[in-house]
Amino acid sequence: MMATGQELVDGYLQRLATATADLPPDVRDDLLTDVRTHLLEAQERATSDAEIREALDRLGTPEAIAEEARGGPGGPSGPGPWTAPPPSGAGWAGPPPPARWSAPPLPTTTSSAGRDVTTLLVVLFGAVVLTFVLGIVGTVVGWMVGLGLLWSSRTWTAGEKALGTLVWPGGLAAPFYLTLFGGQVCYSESEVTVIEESADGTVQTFVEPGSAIAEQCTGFAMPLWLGIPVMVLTVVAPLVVASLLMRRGDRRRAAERQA
Amino acid sequence: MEPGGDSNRTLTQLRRGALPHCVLAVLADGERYGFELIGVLAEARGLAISEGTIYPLLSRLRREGLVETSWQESDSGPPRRYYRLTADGERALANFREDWQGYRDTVDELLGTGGRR
Repeated sequence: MMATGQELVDGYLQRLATATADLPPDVRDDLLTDVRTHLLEAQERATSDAEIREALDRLGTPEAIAEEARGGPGGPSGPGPWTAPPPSGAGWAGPPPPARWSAPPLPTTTSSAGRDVTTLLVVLFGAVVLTFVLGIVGTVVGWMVGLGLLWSSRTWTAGEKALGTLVWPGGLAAPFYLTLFGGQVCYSESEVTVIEESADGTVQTFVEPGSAIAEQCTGFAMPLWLGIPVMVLTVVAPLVVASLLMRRGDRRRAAERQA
Repeated sequence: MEPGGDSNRTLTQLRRGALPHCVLAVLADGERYGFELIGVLAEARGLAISEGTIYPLLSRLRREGLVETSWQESDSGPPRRYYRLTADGERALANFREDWQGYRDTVDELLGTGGRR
């Protein structure tokens, strides 16, 4: 089926939104508003979808417009084609387009900040909290619930989800376990059995008290120089990943609002 | 360097270089809204503009203070963003007119395309 004019326009604007994602927000807003207004005007005048298609062709590709906004082919480093006197007037500070005029609705994904925060909190703390209730089963269940929320989210890319999954499985459960069970248990052998052969050939066995010659430890203990950084890492890594995902989510939601 | 195959590129660069001032010149006749302004520029076929790239250009001219904009309701259709020259824009246009004439005369003379002598 052939796309309708409205679908073409929506698709075009979405492509432009994507192509300009790296521009400063105010520049991008400006551009998207201008092109959207242009297309509304074109749609107003068009009598057929074919005319809308022509109007889109004349505009050129969204990517070419984005390229121009970045400073044109050759980038902004080249000698600018126009050199202006220092700007004196303030920029445009007029009213935004009246509310009555609403932009053509763009298909957007729905991702909410609330859900993202919940997801990240569960990924971080879910396993720890449930461990108190259910023990080791709780650790697994809590982590799985966090992963379920993470992977069903539409905010993040697969790569980001993998990052959230693989960095310190169990979120903050890892340092929690290290603290709980990672201690060292040591005891010294304070009694030593000594076997002595005397000059007459008899063998005597006796226990010599108080002579500690061996110390033995159980539990997995790391040398201090390794243990402290690992401990810090298990706490910091999940937090860093969580805040990274939160920021990406925020940025994406902001972009969606603009588009 | 062999410039033969580059004449297209040269022309593209010349067009690019002159376009901002062509926009200013159109606005010197009075304010225009984007769609209308682009219509005027598109009719000047020698400019060979790609319509969409005018908007980034207008945005830059506005940030440089050479044009200013205002939204106005229209009787039919969506509100329009009107562009008009600022005093700085008028000065920049006047300067370019002068520079352009000097430049054009020099190039004409060197290329033998002046047709005046």
